[in-house]
Amino acid sequence: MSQTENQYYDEFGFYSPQELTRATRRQPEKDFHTGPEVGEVVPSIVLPDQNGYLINVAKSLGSNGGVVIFHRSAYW
Amino acid sequence: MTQLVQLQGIKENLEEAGYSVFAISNDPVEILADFASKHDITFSLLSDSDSAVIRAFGIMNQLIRPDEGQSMRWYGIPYPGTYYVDANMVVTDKDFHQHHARRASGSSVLARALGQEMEVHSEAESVDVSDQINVSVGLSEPALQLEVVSQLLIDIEIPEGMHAYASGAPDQFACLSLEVEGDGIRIGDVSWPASEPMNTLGIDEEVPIYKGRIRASLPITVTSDVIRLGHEIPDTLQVSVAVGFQLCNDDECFLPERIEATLSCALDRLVEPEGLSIYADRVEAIEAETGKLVR
Repeated sequence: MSQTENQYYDEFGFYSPQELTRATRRQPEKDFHTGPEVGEVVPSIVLPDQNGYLINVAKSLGSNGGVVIFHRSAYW
Repeated sequence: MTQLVQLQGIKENLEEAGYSVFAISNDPVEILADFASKHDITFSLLSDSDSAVIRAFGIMNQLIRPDEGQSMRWYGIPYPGTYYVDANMVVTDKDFHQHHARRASGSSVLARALGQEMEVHSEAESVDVSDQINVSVGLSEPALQLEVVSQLLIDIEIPEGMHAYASGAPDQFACLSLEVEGDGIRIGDVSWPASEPMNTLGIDEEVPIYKGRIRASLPITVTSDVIRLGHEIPDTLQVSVAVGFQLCNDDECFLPERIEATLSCALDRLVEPEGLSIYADRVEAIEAETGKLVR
């Protein structure tokens, strides 16, 4: 990767091996969608975990519930 | 990613309190497996590789076209955020961030899930004004990290028999106030605890006051300014906190005062080079295979 220092840092300090002009570096307006609101039931989540096991979140919650985090990537 | 490592650190506390933890991204299983084994992650890292769940939640980043950034799986990423759900999958609280790189710190997630007061995990700076007020400033994490939203915790001890005025008190009283400044940081709004009402002689209405020990907190995030400050990335950042207050007892009021504390905040390594090199390797491999530039 040939790139000069700091060229890939945006105003939030986020670094990516892509130029700042790329769409992937844009950020949404303040009123972007944030999904289900407080009091609403979230959609079903059945996905493979890091071990390849299919996890059904609704059936794997603790007695009080759970914390569900959506993130960019494990490596970012 | 630092957030997942921080979450691993609070996993047991959450589980003991009856909460399980799930982190969802559009990473393929093999990326999650690799990350989990390198960083000893034992909670569920879920792979939503076709973004079906992300779409069902309605939180897919709409700014990325399907033909953009495919090599690094940009298409299909979610807006980053956290849902706190009860045992019936009903949302009890949520916290979303505008920028895809921003994320809540582990301590913030724990405190928010359990409704607990955060603990100070950094060095703390105290200022004691004799016979008056004691202010102690610390951080929710041992160190700040780029774009991880930590909390600046300000503990204010009001001496026995005295009170300070809270926001909403009549103009003649100086309310407890906070000013926070520092280079390379972004500061959010201050969260104050609930005040208590007090009847004051000569005033018809109840006046909001604080007594004893109170905790104010505000989000603090390191920004790219620390990188632009110079070529060398600093190890620490100085954050100055000024507390304005006026103390009274039942008989008299003292003059408004202002005290300052400067907290030296440690900075963790700002960029995750592991992620960069892995993705750079992927791009180079795809370019070598296809003969096309994909970056």
